[in-house]
This record gives sequence, structure tokens and C-alpha cells, in this order.
Amino acid sequence: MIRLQLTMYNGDGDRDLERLGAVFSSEIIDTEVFQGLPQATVRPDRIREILTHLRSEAGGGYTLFVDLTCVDYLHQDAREGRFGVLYTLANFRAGKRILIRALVQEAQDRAPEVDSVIPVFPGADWAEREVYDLYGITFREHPDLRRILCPDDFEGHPLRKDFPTEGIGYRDRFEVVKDGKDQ
Amino acid sequence: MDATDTATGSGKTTFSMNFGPQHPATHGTLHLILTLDGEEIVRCDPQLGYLHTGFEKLGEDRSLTQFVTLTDRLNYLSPLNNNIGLVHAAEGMLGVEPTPRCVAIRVILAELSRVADHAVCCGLAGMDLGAFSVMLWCFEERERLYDIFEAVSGTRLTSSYTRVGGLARDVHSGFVPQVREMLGRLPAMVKELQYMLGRNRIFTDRMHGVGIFSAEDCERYGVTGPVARAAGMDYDVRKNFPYYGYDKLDWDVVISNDADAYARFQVRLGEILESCRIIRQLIDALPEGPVNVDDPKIILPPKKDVYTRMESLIHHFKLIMDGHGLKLPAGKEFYAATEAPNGELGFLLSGDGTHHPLRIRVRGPSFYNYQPLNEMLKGHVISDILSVLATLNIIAGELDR
Repeated sequence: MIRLQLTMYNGDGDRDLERLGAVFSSEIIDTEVFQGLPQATVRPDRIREILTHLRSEAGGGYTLFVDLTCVDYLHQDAREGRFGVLYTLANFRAGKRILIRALVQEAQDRAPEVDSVIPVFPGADWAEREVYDLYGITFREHPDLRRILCPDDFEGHPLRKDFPTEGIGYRDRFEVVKDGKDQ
Repeated sequence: MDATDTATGSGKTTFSMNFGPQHPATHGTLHLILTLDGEEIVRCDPQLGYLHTGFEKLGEDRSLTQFVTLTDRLNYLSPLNNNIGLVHAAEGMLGVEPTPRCVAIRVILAELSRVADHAVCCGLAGMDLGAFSVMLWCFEERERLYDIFEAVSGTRLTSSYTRVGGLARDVHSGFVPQVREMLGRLPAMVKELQYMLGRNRIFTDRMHGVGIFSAEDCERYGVTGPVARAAGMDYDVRKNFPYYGYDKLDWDVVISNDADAYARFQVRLGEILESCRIIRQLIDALPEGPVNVDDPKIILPPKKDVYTRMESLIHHFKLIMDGHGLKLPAGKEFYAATEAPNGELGFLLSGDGTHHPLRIRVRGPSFYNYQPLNEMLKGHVISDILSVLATLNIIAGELDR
């Protein structure tokens, strides 16, 4: 009988975290390894350099762009920013992943902003558009920052915690199409 | 079709045209706005969101068990893979290890589901390029596979079969012979597909050299699955981030170096045979024992006990009632992925200490595989769109979520 078991992450991800902390000491807020997945919480200003470092051989060789998404920490414990933009990268040859969490603060008069990482990973294009669409975070220097899932005339950002799950009645505003004889 | 003339700075006269969202070859609601120079594609701008259902928002108001039913609707060609992907991530975050029998059943069903997905994808590719009967043959085999899923989970499509820490129920007594019979049929199906499509001049001429996307680009764009493997990128979540003991089984990752639509078709056919190899090793030695972990804090007690035993009733209450249930650790985030038929299907979970996740992110392969469509199609003609779309196998439910 073949013995099967659950194995998740291995590799030297924690050493990559240490190196990241040494190079970007002023940017790192916190690092941890949770259930085998190395994670770092960082300030957003030098995110492009951080990802470039991780992509390089010295930084761990995380060349596969896995995902970019966001979490809204409204009503959670106090953090440096309301939004956490999450970058997941992988070095599949060494079997390791890393999660980078850039905390982005909401300004009083304008939308929260963070640099686009398209120059480092072109695959971030649509993911950044999605975060812009659903969370209202602006990605500086994104070449084509439009809504992607919601209609262009949609108001609000549905995945924010202060957006009601039951919606804001967008569909109620649709024109009712009557049958031919009414027109 | 809506066509308007616009003059661009290059001196060429281009015009734009809508492809979809109701084109028969878009299988669902994919919409492309093409900028054309004659029949040559200058630019292709995919429009997303026609099937945007807000799964991720809904997930924030549901427990993980309730979210399993929503994962059925992500990639609706292989719902079991989505069920497994979710509970795999949740178990990784909570530190739950499923039982050997549960793992073996999950692997068998995941591979059967992968076969169903690949078969439909290849059959529909044939249909898009004019070979209608091949599609019907593939659907025939898929129906047989769905019979297995129906016997196991109770439904053909919306299986909702997995639970955190186990399965909805154990497989029935006829499961093993049913799967064995299926294994006997599948190599014949692959052979048939090879004869009918792989040697079909119309099919091969329209697939060769179309939609090329290199391995380096796949990495930078996050393209995974058969599309990346057809380009020579040696990446399969089952091998590189082994889970459920895939690394202990004897099978190979199917790789091609041509990077075109035909290579993707061949990789899919190869993967059907590899999946059969995996299942064959497990079906003969299906471990005995329970399918659920022995922990009433995670798995619901048997219904009979809930009615007759006080303790079981309390456990039932503690898992089901609002405000109770499986609680994800506060302030933590975790990402784990499985290999779905189209590539890496990842779930990112964020906990806030309640029984609802703070954030549940579905990293569907379709979203990232669809993104470089503009690069793949540039310089091709309109009829090539069908070959490329058919082999990318974009599923709108997963793309728009």
C-alpha cells in the first residue's frame, strides 16, 4: 500500500526572509513563517525593489508570479494601513512560496496608492486592475488602470468591508425594457 | 458585429470589431474587442465580468463548509478539483491532516475530474475547428465519468463533496469496479482522439504554430497548467509542491516544447493517460479506515448520534450554529494551491478569529492564462482565435468569479 500524507511547504523560505530583512531593514514591519509559508509585512514605498530582489537569484529566485490581491483590515486590530496588498510569488524549482503584504494607508482626500509592479512582473496587470476595481486602490504608473470585473459606470468598490454584501441597488437602476407595442 | 473605421498614426487603417460575448466558440461569455487591419489582429482587448458573481464577497459571509458549494461554480467543468482545492488550503491553515483513505479518494476523484475536463476541452477544440462528432464522443465518456461522480456525491455537476477534514460521505461499495471499468475505456478514448484530431489535416494545420507563448513569459505572467507545460515550463503543482502524496506515486509530468496550440492539445491528451496511471496505483490499494478525521471539533458527528447522544448534539450545535464552527486564526493569512486541470488553483485565506473568513481569494488559473491573449494573438488572423481560445480552455465562472 502506498502511504499518503499531506506535505505542504519546505525549502529555505525563512532564510530568504532573513535576507530580505537585512537588505530592506527600514521597509520590513514584521516577518513570520505561518504553517510553513514565509510571510513579510512591508511598507509599500519600495515594493518594486522588494519584488525585484525576491525575483533575483540572491533573493531566493522567486520567478513565478502567482497572485496579487488585497485584504481590507477595517474593524481589525490597528495596523499601519487599512489595506494589505498581498503578493504571492513562487520558486517552483525549489518548491517554495513567499507572501508579501504591503500595508497601504487610506488618505483623507484621495484614494490609497501603491506602485504598480508590472515592470517586475507583467502578469500583475489584470490583478492590479481587479484590486483597483474591487478595493479602489490606485496603482501608480499602471498603463491601463480601468475597472475589470464591474461595469465602467459602477460606483463604489465591492470588496471593501464598508460595502454591503446585499449590494447598493445597481441593478434596480436598469431601464425596464417593455415589449414592442409600448414603444 | 459593430465595425467602425479609425485611422491610427501608423498609416494603417484599422477597425474594431466585437468577438462575443455571444459567439458560439466562446463557450460562455467571453468578449474580445479586436482591432483589426484587414483580417490581421493588431490588438485584442478581452472584456471580463459578464459572469462576475461576487464569490469572494459572498465567501466573507459564509463558513468554509458553505463556501464549498460556491467552489462548484468556479470551473464548472471540474467542480471536484475546486472542492478539493478549497479544503486543501483550509486544512493547511488549520493544521488538519486528512486520513489516508480520504486522501486516496480525493486523488482518484481529482484525477477523474481532470480527465473529464481535458476530454471536454479537447472535444470542444475539435468542434470549434469543424469536427463535431469528436465532441460528442468526448461527451459520452464524460457522461460516464459524471455517473461516477453522481454515485459518489449525489449530483453530477455541483458535487460539493469535500469537507474540511474529510468528505461528505464515504464512497459506495461499487466505486472501485466502476472506476476500474472507466480506466479500461479511457486509453481507447485518447487513441480515438489522436486518430480523429491528431491526424486530421484541417485540425493540425489550424493548430500548429498558433498562439505561441514562451516558457519565460509564462513564468512572468503567472501562466500555469497545460498551457505552460506545452511551452516547456516544467511546473506541475503536484510535483513541485507535492501534496496528498503525489510525489510518492509513479507518474510523469507531460512536457512539450512547441508552445503552440497543438502542443497544448497533445499535453492534455498525455495528461489523461498520466491521470489513469495515478488512479491505477491507488484503486488497487485503496486504504481502509475512516474518511473523516477523528475530531468532533472539525467534522460533524453522524446524524444518528445527533438524535440519540447528548455529546454529539453539542458537537453538532458547536459546528453549525452561527457564531460557532471552524474558526480561522485571527490576523493570519495562508495560501495553498492544488493542480486543477487548467493550472494552479490557489486559495488565499485570511482569518479574523470568527467562523467566517476575513478574505477568501480564489486564484483561478483561467484568470492568469487568459491575460496574455493579446500577446498570443498579435499578428494572427481572426480564425486563429478559435484555436487559441479552445486550447487555453478559459472557463468564465472561474475567470470572473
